[in-house]
Amino acid sequence: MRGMLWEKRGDRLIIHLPEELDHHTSQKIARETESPGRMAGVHRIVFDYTRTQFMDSAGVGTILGYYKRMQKINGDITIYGASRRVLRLLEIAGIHKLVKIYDSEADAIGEDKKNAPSAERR
Amino acid sequence: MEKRDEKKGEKMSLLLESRSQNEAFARVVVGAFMARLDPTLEEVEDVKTAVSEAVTNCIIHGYHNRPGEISIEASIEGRTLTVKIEDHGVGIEDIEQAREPLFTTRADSGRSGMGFCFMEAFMDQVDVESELWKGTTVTMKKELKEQRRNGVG
Repeated sequence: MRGMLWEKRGDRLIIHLPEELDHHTSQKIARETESPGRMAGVHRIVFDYTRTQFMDSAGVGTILGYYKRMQKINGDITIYGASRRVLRLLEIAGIHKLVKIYDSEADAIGEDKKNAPSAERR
Repeated sequence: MEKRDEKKGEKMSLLLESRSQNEAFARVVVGAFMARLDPTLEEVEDVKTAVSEAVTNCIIHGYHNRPGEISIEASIEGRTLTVKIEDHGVGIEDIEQAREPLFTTRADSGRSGMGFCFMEAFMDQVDVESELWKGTTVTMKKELKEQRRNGVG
């Protein structure tokens, strides 16, 4: 996977999903983003789908996993940049009811009290 | 006027190791094989998604992420594409239950239980045969739309 995978801005964790989102790449994402350090203080997870050309049910599993975590702490999940096909897949899986869908990164990130510019990036 | 050839009896067969990096490879191979039917982009994506689900199931459920062999066969008869994906893994105890949307034995591994649901959404027919400790075979069929006339011979 090229480019940075994730970045933290205040209490937002932004995950830049890869071109192919399947079981293989989902495992990589989980390894690199699911650590107590990464998740500390996070109340919104933003999934960036702008690069994603292919997705199967593993992508659904990834969102569901984070959704359950966010639910526990009254956080939420937003997504942006999803193609029509990705949106269709999310709809089939019922995920469109669990996350907020936006067109832009700015909207998906939203207002945040602790939104510090150029925060921790990888 | 020249009569179009009927695409009859064409097939391909591939043996892959049960490794997650082969999921993408399997998708590309079947996608390339079906290209001769001049499918729409959507049809190719549909088939690739279904193939991805079936192969992933072999890796995670059939072989529990251990080494094993996965066989992929694809064949064409007229406008019908048939894809058969088989493993010699642990098999499925209750096939009906396995096919229920959201049912998964691996929620801990981030599985959503939507694999069969997606296969059924994108293919016209999905048949599953399995025997405990012998393996599982998933056979999927898709009828592709009539060839588009793009004016080229």
